Amino acid sequence: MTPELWEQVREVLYEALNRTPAERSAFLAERCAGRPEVLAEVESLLLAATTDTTGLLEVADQHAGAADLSGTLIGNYRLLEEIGRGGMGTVYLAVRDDGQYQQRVAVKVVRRGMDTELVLGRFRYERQILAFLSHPNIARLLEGGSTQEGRPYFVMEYVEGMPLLAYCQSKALSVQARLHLFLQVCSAVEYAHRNLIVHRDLKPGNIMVEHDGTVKLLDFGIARILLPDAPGLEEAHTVGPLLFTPEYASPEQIRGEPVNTATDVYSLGAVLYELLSTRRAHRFQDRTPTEMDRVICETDPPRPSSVLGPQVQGITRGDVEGDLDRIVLKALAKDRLQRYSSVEQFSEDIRNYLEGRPVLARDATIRYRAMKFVRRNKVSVGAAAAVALTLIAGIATTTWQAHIARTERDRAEQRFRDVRRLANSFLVEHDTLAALPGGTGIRAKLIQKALEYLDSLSREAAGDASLRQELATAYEKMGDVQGRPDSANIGDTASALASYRKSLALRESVLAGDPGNPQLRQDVASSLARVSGALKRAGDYRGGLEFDKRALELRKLLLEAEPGNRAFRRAVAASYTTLGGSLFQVGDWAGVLATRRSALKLHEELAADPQADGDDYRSLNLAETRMASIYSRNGDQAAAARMYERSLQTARKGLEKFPRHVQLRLGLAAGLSGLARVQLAEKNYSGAVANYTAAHELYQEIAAEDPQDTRSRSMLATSHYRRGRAYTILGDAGRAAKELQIALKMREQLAEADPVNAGAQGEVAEAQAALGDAAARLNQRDAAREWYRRAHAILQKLQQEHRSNSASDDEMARVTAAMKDLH
Amino acid sequence: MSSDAVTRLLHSWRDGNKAALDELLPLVYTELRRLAESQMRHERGGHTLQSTALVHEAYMKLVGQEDAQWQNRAHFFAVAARVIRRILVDHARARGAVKRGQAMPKLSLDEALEVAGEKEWELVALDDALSRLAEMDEQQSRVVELRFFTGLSVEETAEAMGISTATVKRDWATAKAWLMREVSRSVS
Repeated sequence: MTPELWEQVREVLYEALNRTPAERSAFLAERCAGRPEVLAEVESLLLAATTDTTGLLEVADQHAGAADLSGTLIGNYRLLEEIGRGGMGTVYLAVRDDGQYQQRVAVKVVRRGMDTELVLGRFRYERQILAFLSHPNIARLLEGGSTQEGRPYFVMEYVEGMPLLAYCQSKALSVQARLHLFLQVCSAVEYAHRNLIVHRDLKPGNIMVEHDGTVKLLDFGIARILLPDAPGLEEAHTVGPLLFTPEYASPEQIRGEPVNTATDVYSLGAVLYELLSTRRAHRFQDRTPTEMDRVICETDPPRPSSVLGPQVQGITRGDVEGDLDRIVLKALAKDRLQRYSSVEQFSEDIRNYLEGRPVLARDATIRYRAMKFVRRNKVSVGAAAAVALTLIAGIATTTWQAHIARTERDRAEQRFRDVRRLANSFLVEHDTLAALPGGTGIRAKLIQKALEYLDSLSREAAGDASLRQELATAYEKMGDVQGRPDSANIGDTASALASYRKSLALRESVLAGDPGNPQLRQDVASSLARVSGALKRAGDYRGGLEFDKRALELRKLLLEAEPGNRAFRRAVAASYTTLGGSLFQVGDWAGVLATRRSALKLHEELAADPQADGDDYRSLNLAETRMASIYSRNGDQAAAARMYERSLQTARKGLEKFPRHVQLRLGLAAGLSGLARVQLAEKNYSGAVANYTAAHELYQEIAAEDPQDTRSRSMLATSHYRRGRAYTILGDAGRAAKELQIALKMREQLAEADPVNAGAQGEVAEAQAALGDAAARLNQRDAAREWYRRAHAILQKLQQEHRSNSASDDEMARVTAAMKDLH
Repeated sequence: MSSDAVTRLLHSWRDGNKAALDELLPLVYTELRRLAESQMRHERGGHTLQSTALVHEAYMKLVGQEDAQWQNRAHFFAVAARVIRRILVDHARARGAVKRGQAMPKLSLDEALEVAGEKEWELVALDDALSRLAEMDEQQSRVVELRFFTGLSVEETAEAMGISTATVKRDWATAKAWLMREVSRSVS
C-alpha cells in the first residue's frame, strides 16, 4: 500500500472503529463514495480487527492496561472503581468490607508486572513519606500492607471534592477566595518542607477542594526527602518515562538538575498563574523536547492579567494587575535565586497583598526590610513535632556555617554530626510511633528531647555570643510551639513561659556585652513582650505588667536614637497599648487613660504620614476604639460616642485606600459594636440594634472567608453575645436566648481548644451568665439559677487559681448579685 | 561504560548520528539481558516481569538516576524498544530455522517477557509487517514498537514521542487492525 493510500484508509478506518457495527456500512458508503480502493481496504481491515485470530497484539494492551482490580478485596477493603493511575500504581475508590464502618477510602496498589525491587522501593518510599505527614491539607495515610500476591498497597483518606481549578470556575470565585484556597495549598507544602520533603509534582490535578472548602494535597508519588542520607533515596527518586508534568515543571527539572524547595515554589507559581488567569504559564506549540525546553527554560510567561480571558467569572483584569502579577512572576523566575526563598515567604507575600501591605515582590529595599521583619517575628506554625525537627535541622545548619566561618572546623563538624544523629533519631522515632494512636504524646516527647538538647548546648555556649543568639531564637520558637493557641500546639503555657524566659536571659546576656546595639535591643524587647504575653495568658497580669514596662523603656530608647524610624515609632505605640491593656486588667484606670492617650498620639502621627499603610490606619482605629471604651467606662457616653465615630471614620478612610484589609474591616465592625453599646446605655434602642446588625454582618462575612481562623471565630462569637445582650435589654428574651446559645457553643469550642487560656474560660462564663439573665427575664427561675451556677463555678475557679482579671472579677460580682436577686 | 558515555551517545543519536545507535544497541542489550537474568534468578513465585519495568531499570543502570532529563529517557525507550524487538524476533527466527527436532534453549529475556513461546512465527510475521508499516508511516511503526515491545501506555508513548495522545490512540488502533490482518494472512 502506498503511504498516500494508507493515510486515507487510516482516517476512515479510525472513524469506523469508533462507530457501532450497525452504523458502519452507511458511514463507509458515504465516506468512500468514489474511492473503491479505500472502501475495500477498510472493510478488510475492519474484519481483521474484529476477528483477531492471533491474540498477539492483545499482549501489549494487557501490559499497558494491567488488570482492573475493581470488585476485588484488598485487606479489609473492597475496591469499587479505578480513580487514578500513576507510573507505578493504580488508585481505587474502596470501602471497608468487614461491616465495621462505611468509610470510603482510596487504595493505591502497585501495578501488576511493575513490582520490581526498584518500583517496590519507590512505593515504600512514598508510603514512608506519607506516614511522616499529618496535616489537615494533606490526604492522610490510614494503613498499609501487602496483597496475597505480595504486592504492596496503602490506604489513604478518600478526598471527595473537585479539582482546584474546576472548583474555582464552577463557583466563579473572587480573587480573594481563590487566594485563600491557594494559601491552604501553601500551608500544606510549607509543612512538607518543614519535614524536609519536596513534592516535585505540584499541579492543579493534585489539589482537590472538598465541599466545605478544605484543600487537600494528593500524590507524593515522586516526592523526595531532602536529608542527604535519607533511606531509599539513591534508587528511589526517579522512575518512569516522565517524572513530572511539563505544564508545571521548573527549568531545573527540565534540565535534570537537582531539585529543592525552590522547585515547589516555581510549580506553586504556575498553579497560581492558572488560578488567576485560567491560562497556563507554559504554553507549548507541540510537545517536542526542544519546544518544552524553549518554553520552560527560556520564555518568560506574560503577566497573568494580560492573558486573562473575558470568560473568567469572578475575576477582572484590574484585580490581578499590579501586585498579583508581580507575585506570580516572582515565583516563576527562571533563576531560582530570584524566586521567593521559601513557600512561607511566598504565602506571606500573598497575605501582604490581601491585607493591603506592601508586597516583597515590589522592590529590593522593601523586600530586604520585610525579610528582616519576617525573620524576626515569624511564628512557626504546624505540628509541634515538625517544628521541633526543623528547629534542630536549622540549628544544625546555622551552627555549622557560623563555626566554619570561625575556623573551629573540627568542633563544629562534631556538633553537626551530633545534631544530625539526633535529628535522625527523631525521624526514626516519629516514623515508628506515628502509626500508633495518641500522637500527641509523641509530639511532647519530641519537644522534650529537643529541649534537653538545647539546654545542653546553652551550657556550652557561655562564651559564644552568636550561638547564644541562635539559641535564643530557638527557645523563642519552641515557646511558640508550646503555647500557641491553635490545634497544632500542645497548649502548655507554663512550658512556653519557661522557654521565653530562657530566650530572654540569653538575649539580655548578649545585650550586656553590646548595650547600644539596636538589633539586640529589639530582640530583648521582643522577648520581654513574649514573656509578658505568656504570663497574662496564664492569668498573672501584675507579673506581665512589669515586663511590659521594661519593653516600653527599651523601645523608647530605640526611637530616641532614630526619631525618623517609623517601625520604632510603631513599636513604642504598640508597647503603650500593651501596657495599657495590662493596667486595664489590674484596674489602674488613671494609668490606662494615660497610656492610651500616648498611644493614640503616636498612631495619629503615623497615620498622617503619606507613607501610611493599611496597618497604620488599623492601629489608629484601634487606639480610638480603646479610648472610646475608657470614656464609656468612666460614664462619659457622649465623648465615647464621638470617639467611636472617629474610629469609624479612620477605618473607612483606610478602607478607601486598602479595600481588602481584613483588620480594617474588623475595626469597622468593632467601632459599630462600640457605638451600639453606647447607644444602648443611652437607651437609643433602634440605633443600637441597627449598628449591632451591621457589625454582625461584617463579622459573619469575615469569619466565612477563613473558617479555620480562631480569632475571627472568637469575634463572631462575641458578636452573637452582644446581640444577645441587646435583645435581653430590649425585652426580647426569646431571641436573646437563641443568640446567646450560639455564642456559648462557639466559645465552649474555643475554650476547649485552649484550656490554659483564662480569657476564653471567662468568656464562656460570661455567655452563661447572660443566658441566666435571659432566662430570668422569661421568669424561668430554675433555668436562670442553673446558668448562674455554672458561670459562678467557672469564675470562682479562675479566682482560686489566681487567673482572674478585672473583667472576670466584675462578672463574678454581677453573677453573685443576680443569684441573690433570684431568691 | 560510564553513564556519561551513554548519555553522550543518546545526545549524539538525537542529533542525527546513526552510528551512535549502533554503539548503544549492544550496551542496552547486555544490560537488559543481565537484568532479566538476575530477575529470573531472584524470582518470587508466580511473578511475571514486565518489559516497561525492565527498561526503566536498564535506564537507571545505564544513564543513572541523576539524569532526569526526559529527552534522554524518551530516546532511551526508543532504543530499548528496538533492542527488544531485535532480540525477540531474531530468537524467534532462529527457533523457526531449527524448527522441531533439537530443543533450543530459551533466552532469559523472552522467557521473562513471555511473549515468544508458541508464537515465534507470528512474531516473525509481525516483525515483517511492522517493517512494511514503517515504509507507509515511520512514526506509526514507532508507536507500535514502543507500545508492543516496551509496554508503554498510550500516555507514556505520547510523552516519549512528543505527540498527542489522540494521535497515539489513532495510530495504535489502526496499526493494530492492519498488523492483525497482515499477520493472519502470512501465518495461514
